[in-house]
Amino acid sequence: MKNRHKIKFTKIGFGIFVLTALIISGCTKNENPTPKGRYESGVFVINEGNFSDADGSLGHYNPETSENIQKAFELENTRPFGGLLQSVIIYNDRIYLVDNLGSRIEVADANTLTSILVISEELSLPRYMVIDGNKGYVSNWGPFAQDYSSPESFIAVLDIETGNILKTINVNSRPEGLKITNGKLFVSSLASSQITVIDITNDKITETIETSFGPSNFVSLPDGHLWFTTMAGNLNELDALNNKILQTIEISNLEGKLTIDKVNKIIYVLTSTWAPDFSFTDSRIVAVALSSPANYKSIYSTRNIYGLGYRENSNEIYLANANAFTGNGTILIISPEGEDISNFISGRGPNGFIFRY
Amino acid sequence: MNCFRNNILFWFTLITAAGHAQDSLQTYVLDELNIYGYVSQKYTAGSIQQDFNKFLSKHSTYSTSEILQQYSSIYLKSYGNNMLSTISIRGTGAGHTSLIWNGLNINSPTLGQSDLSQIPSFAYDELVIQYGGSSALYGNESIGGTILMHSTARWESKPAFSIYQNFGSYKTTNTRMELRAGNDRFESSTRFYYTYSKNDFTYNNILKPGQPKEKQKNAAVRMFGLYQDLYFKSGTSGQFNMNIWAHASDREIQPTIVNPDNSDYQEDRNIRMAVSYKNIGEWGNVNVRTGYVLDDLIYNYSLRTTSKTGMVQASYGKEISSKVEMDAGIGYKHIGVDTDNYLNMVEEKRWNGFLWVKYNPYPIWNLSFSIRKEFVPNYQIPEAPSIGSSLDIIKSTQNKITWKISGSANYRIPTLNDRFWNPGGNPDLIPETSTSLESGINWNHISLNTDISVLLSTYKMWVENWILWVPNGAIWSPDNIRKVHAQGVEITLKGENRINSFKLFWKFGYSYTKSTNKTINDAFDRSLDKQLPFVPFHNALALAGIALHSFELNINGNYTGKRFTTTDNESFLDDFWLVNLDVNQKLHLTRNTLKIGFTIKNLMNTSYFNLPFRAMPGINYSMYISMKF
Repeated sequence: MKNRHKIKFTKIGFGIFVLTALIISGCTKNENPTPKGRYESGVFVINEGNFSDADGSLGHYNPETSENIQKAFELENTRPFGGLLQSVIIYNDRIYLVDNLGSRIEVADANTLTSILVISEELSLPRYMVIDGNKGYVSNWGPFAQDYSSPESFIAVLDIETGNILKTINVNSRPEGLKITNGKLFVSSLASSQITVIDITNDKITETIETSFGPSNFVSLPDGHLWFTTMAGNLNELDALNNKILQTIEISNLEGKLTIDKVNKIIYVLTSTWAPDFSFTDSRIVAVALSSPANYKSIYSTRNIYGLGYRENSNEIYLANANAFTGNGTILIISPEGEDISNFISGRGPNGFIFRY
Repeated sequence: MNCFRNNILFWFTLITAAGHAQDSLQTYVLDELNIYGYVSQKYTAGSIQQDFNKFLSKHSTYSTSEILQQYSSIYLKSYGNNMLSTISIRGTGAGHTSLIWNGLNINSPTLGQSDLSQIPSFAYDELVIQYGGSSALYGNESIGGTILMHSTARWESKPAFSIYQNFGSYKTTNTRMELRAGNDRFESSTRFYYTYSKNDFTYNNILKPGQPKEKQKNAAVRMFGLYQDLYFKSGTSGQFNMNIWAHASDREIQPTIVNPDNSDYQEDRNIRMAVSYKNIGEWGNVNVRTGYVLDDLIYNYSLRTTSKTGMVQASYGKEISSKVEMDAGIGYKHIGVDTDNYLNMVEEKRWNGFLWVKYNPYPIWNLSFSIRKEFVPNYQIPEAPSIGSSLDIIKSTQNKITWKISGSANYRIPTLNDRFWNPGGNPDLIPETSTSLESGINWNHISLNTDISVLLSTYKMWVENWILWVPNGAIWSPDNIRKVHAQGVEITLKGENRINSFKLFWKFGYSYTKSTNKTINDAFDRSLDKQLPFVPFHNALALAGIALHSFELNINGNYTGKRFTTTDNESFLDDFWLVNLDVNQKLHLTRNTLKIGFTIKNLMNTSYFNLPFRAMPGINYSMYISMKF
């Protein structure tokens, strides 16, 4: 009996709440088309988190209002993300959050962040993900061997609707960057000197491309060409049609992360050098104009940058200062000319961005 | 503003105490009894906690970690239930407390710290905590505090055998046995302990939708040990002590709830041996001690670290006059480490010398001065001096108020892992150093049915060249990076009352710790003057015990304040209270005593994390039976 009363009460309470909400929303503006959710526009900040605290998180920043939401996934799902948020992609209004530590992918509505699915089966230290049609491809380092090498690395092919793993493809050690273009999946493996090419119609390896040591991350251009960085410290242009490397540009102290301004055809890369006591890095942002890539130039220097992204809407570069992972990070917004625009607080270890609209 | 307030509190104790001192100096002249258990304790005016002994006998199954968690207001970082547990005294790190067992520093030479879950409280008879810096007395790593563990002879002629057995939740079983035999000149104590726990408690997995209940996997622990003490009086004034302790533990390493299927495994084997001879004669006191510690650790069945430490120490002490007493000594230590984590085997020889002086200008006033200097080849270790004053402001049959003030400089040699780890070890590190000041007031009141004591201490400490491991690309490396300013207040109130047949014991403890970072690594770093991660501002304990004839009820609660997880204090773990209850009944049989008891841990069924995503058990039970012959 007692319980029934309780339910009745909450129903009435809820009724009043809905009514009030309706009245209030009726009173305020209602001209715009109903937004799909709080996160439909703006910038997602990927906060990787610190290993021992497993405090990876997704942040959201609204450049128009400067509203800055920390731990957005936790806020919308009332549970922490809890892991290392290695990478994030958005595909068909769904957001895929890749947890490197917990070996899982959280799938949520990209506009509301409401959890839809957790994919964990067969994943092992997942890094990055790309999607084509109904199929997702996830690079996995696989379990560490005793000497912390990664001899069992693979690409997991999964059905993005059900989360079921369809196939695993063994690749070179430590697959990192993934890019799909011309019906082919390009896989760069950090602990190798090769890029693996996979035919995505049958998910079979067709070819490997020799590179400098440690191919890392890709960006693509509409002309079908890919650019990628290597740990050896160079930036390369790859003709994705013929699988041929067209040019290699040496940039000293180059990091793996890069971003591209596709309109003006400029790639921005990051270089870092360590302070003598390792307590911080000196970071530089280097602009590589694809019209004459060899004449790259440093446009900005600061400390502790761990990731970067180019926001086309505003022609701005976002830099992720990870504060050497001891504290939460800071996001710096600069112009392509290297002028400071603004900055805002992020979560732990920011490593990249997703720009919406 | 905050800083101002803390300063006021610090100076307040100084000024009030000094005011009292003026009119009491000549008034109270009473005997100065030597109540100190150990030579070194005569030479300190620092804050000491030595009321553990009554709890040690009550909880022979507890680890040192559990004893400290329940009976002190010190924060312990626990990486799961019965897992790695490290200590943080006065806002310092795990490596800033030395652990001295029968005169040997048993902190691991590779890690420079100890896992207190692996030190059963059954393996010693007395536990003392010296708060604050005391490198002059105890050497390396005594920056935040020092834990002293001793075995002692009882010189009883009647042999005693005791056995203890408990069974608890999560398939936990504990066995303890002790045989003591001897007379007034010779004594042997043999102890055996065994602990097993499947440790498969249930927890709510807060990372999953709906927070399902899950069983903890891979957290089973097993440990056993054998302990032998021999005491032998030679002549009229000499005594030999020998303590040998063999400890073995095999345990699964409890994974976080982030990756609950991890299955790491660790095997530890330790042998610790201390042999000493002391002679107290008219011509002075001679103390010679030698020790050996072997630590062997195998991680995941293959990664092995073996370290062996041998040490010798000799000291001579003398009461030069009724007012002056001193001790001086030298020590030598040899460390050898063989590990898969270093490129080569590492050996190191360390020398040290110390001088401790005590001067009593008046019987109620005790001044001390101590200094230690340690030598390590190719290494510059600063001298570690300390000074102290202890003054009885009031001393009567019922009341004693003592005001203590002390200052010290202390050091910590970079650990062998810091220097030789491959990859990343940094051979160019310099020692961490600290300067600390403290002042405290103790009040003891004794009357017919009531004993009350109040301890209040405040301190300030500056730590420099604090070593941090930071990412250097894909490799992590240590360097002397951090500067820390710590200050705080510790308060203890405790008492014993007898009301008719009831005996009541109670205690409240509280510590406020403000340990702030003084270095930043870039212009956007928000950590300047912020609390260090995993140092709670507030820690408290409250406990009470009631005994009626042979029945006893004990309850204790322990509060751990919120801990920040980032240096900028933007993220934190929630605070929590833990309450434990124990009831037991003694039965006096014709030839022996039987005790039956029942314990409830985490009585309030608190769901909490000590460290991020390390699950801890809810309410759990155990029952025990012990017999003394």
